[in-house]
Amino acid sequence: MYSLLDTFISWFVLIFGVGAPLYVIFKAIGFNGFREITVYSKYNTFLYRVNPAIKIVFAVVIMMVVTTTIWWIGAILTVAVLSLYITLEHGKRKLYIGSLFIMSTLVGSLWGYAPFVTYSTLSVVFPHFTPDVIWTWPSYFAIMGYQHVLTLQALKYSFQISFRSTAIMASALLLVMTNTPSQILRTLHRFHIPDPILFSIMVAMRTVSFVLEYLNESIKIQMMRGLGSKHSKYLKPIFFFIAAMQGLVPTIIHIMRGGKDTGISADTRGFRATKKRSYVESTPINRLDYYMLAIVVILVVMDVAINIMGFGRTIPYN
Amino acid sequence: MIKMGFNGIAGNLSEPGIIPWPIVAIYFALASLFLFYIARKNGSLSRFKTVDYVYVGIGAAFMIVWNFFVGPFLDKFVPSGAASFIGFGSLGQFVILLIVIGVVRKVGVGMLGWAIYDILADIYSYGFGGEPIYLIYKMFAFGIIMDLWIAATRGKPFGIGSGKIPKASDTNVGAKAPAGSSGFVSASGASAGTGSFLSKPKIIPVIAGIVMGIPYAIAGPIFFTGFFAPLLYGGIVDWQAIIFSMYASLPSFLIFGIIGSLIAARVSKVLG
Amino acid sequence: MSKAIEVNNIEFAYLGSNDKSLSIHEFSVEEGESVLITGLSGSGKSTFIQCINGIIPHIIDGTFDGSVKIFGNDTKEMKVPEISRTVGTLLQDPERQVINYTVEEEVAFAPENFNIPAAEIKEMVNNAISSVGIDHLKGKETLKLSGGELQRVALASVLTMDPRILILDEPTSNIDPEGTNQIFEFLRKEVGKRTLLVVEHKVERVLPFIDRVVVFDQGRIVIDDKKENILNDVSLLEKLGIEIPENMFLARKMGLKSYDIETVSQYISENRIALKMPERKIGDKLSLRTSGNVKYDTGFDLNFNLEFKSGTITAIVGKNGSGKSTLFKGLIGWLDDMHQAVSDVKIETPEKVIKDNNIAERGKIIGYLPQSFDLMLINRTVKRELHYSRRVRGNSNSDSDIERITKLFTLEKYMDTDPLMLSQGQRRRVAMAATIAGGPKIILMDEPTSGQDYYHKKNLGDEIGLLKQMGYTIIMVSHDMRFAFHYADRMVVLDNGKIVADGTPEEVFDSSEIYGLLPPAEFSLRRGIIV
Repeated sequence: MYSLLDTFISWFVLIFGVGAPLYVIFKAIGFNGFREITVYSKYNTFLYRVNPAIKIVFAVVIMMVVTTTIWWIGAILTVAVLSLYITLEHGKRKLYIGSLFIMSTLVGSLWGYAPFVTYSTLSVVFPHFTPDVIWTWPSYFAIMGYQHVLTLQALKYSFQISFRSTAIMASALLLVMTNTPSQILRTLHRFHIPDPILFSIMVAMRTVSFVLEYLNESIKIQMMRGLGSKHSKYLKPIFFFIAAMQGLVPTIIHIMRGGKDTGISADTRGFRATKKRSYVESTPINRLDYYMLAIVVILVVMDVAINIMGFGRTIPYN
Repeated sequence: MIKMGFNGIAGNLSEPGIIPWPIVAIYFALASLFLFYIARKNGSLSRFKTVDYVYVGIGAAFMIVWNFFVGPFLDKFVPSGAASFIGFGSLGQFVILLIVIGVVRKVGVGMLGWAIYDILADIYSYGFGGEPIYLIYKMFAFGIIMDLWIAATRGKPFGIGSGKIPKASDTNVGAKAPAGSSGFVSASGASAGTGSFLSKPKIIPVIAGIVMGIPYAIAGPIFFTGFFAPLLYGGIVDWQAIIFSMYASLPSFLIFGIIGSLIAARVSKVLG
Repeated sequence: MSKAIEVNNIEFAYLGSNDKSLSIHEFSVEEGESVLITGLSGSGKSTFIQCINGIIPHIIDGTFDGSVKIFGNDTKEMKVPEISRTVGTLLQDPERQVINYTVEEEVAFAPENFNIPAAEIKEMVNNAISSVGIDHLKGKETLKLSGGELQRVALASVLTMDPRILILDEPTSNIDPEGTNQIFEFLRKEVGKRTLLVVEHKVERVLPFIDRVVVFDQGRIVIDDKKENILNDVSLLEKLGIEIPENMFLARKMGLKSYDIETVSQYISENRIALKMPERKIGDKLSLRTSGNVKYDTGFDLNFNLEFKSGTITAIVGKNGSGKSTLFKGLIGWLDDMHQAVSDVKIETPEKVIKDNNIAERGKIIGYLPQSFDLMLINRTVKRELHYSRRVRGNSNSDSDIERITKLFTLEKYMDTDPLMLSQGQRRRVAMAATIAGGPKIILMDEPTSGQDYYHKKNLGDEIGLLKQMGYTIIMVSHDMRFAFHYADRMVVLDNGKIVADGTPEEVFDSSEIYGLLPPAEFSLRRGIIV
């Protein structure tokens, strides 16, 4: 018999899975918080002095490790990489915002998978699969595609998938927070990516910040003009979304109007004058980079050792 | 035993049901050659200007914000059972790129747009894992569709090319620059298109939305699930699921293709 | 002296247009000459400039005839990068030009494009930075600079290649008075060192150091005269809608040979001529009382306690970073973000007190017109834009109220038009009308004159004058001292987060220079002050 309390808990879990990431993204992080963890800000701790190429290698190795090891290794690496945020400018705040962002991704992705994983998938994932049931959903949850029960294995599987992305995301954000776009692009330049493409990426990296700022402004103006004011404050996220959608076209047009001048300004400063471009700042490899490289090597060795010890990834992706 | 592979690429080409790699390679090569051929034949090949790279960069920035901020928010409202039918993340990117191709209107912008976005997404989130496979996938599976349409329409993907600029004044000398430049455009040539839904200025964007929406819905399941997923990480190939995904996502790509094309036509008209 | 620029029989029509945007028979500039180019928005100034720096015909598509020669070389035969080594161009909006993250990276952009060795670039960058006087900005992030600072970074970036011809296309239209002064100061020092073409609406600021004035109208040059002869053209300039300094008008009227402020002021004071001050009127009904404190984590602290009366135009002025924008954001409840600041801003009308940052509630009382007004144009037609607030909020505005507002802003013929398709001036009017149509009686305007020419500023002044008569409370943040002098009833000066002056423009301008706010010529003439 499904009790009233069980029904309440089921609905609470459902709403939490959808609502918590939304609350975190929009209320706790907001556009400005998102901007803070996606934009470079000058500072001088060790991560700012590490060569961006090494940081890219670090991110790639993190990805390698989390995709080839058991889920809790991914969890540990996520926490480890996030803890590096404390060394950044406004470190505590960045750690706080970064953690919220990663948590929202984790919860969102966990609840995006766990209730829906079929027994057949879990049988492939876990040989000799015997379900350890944690919770039984109301039968009508099947309408949303929910499985009848939530199993421990489904949670493990979902954790594996979720932590796969969080550690990589945390290390990628570390790169953009501690390097100017030009530094990153100088690194990519070594891979012979054509200059116009690098220029385009540089424009994009600068524009991300403006997109967030202007979209935020457009949304707030609509709220001031009364959007959603006739409705309950609980529907505010819906109106926030409507405002974002309505603000998209004017924001695009506003930014693109300026794009013409950006192009002219680059052309009248000799852009594409020669096939080869020089860079005033070089990004040499220094002592810190060797330390970072040592960490990268340790991670690779750890990855191999973990696999040998039997904690390798046992879960395929579908 | 799970293969580690290089840079997150398992390199698994023998998964049961996987599309043989020569077929994929031949398709990409033939599609590129065909694109080059028709673009050259109808004279729609033209060199990218710096401002075009700026527009693509701006579009990519919007795609990043959409993909990491707005898209996931919307996808939370989609029940998992309906996720095959509608994925706001990819639909939003599709619409933004439609706007970019409407403004740039040059063959190659679809592939370039995806390439810039892909590199940017690696910088912000994915950490270059699986590259350059994802880059190739996005450029050749999706970008090329848009470029073929631009080539087929001779640089007027939404019926608006460089040829028609609203008049600013009746005098011969002193005409203003197109909107978006330093001059100004009077409202006289700038009607909002208040006619019926399928009024003449809207027919081409609607057709464009349909023509690009259909292959977009098909390309994802076929190329990703049928080839790149197993290649990258040994994903299971299930052709029933691929066919279902294609049909399921078709309506949303058609609807968003049409909406996106109408928005793109408006933006390109405003920017001149 | 050799010819720096020679223009012969040029005509240009934008692609797809049969109408010519530019038609110049003959024009030349000697090396080392400084030329002011002015005219209304859309008169062809920028198109002309683009013909000089090679953007036309190389980048902008269209039909181009005739020839433009730079030191004897035809621009048609050269590529834009090649031209850019000789012709440097600074544009209006620094935010649109600067693409790099740090000041040095931005200034190095041009020599990097020419593949110059790094050591050489460093020297070029240092020279350019010093020549513009921004050594203190070295190592700073461009995203964190003020408009004026950013424009000087953009200028340094143009100067890195040491161009023999320097074009400045409305370089001060979007920046603060401090930045404007510094740009003009730079230009004053540059005179004679290189050929200067300065496109500018602020004629009075540029006249002291240029040799020649060129005026455009409808794609043609209608005045091309030495600055000494410009007094003869005053009537025509006025007819063309060019912003003429008052001292020039007076000099012409009084038959003086010189129009410099010193001479005109002296004449006025000797002959005891009384010049009329703009009429000021402070309403007697309190419309808004506000007090608050905003603390940023950077240590910046804003404290204020202000009252505003209906039927009054108040200009909030101050240097960059004085707290003007923060004050506005506090009033409209936009400082609710934990990542920026801790704010406690109360607003109070005779009917209501609002303490929390509820944007929608504050929006019922206060209408806000942002500097980037395009961002509020979300509807497909002007009509829908004007009816938006009524639709979403259900306010008390009737159809006839909206009709009245439509007429006030002369938007009747654009009602079915896409607002984003309109000209900049028209878009500003739609945004303003839509704000008013939302129902609030207190209107906040953020830099409403930014980037606008004299004609559009005058229209704006007339419109807010009408709103004032209708009992609206207008509060604007402005860098434009001349506009404030002509239209504001009251000025509030902010400096480092504190209100340091509050009174009529006359009272404020008496001591505003200590806060970096230069009084306009009109004020100086009336007070006999020589600037």
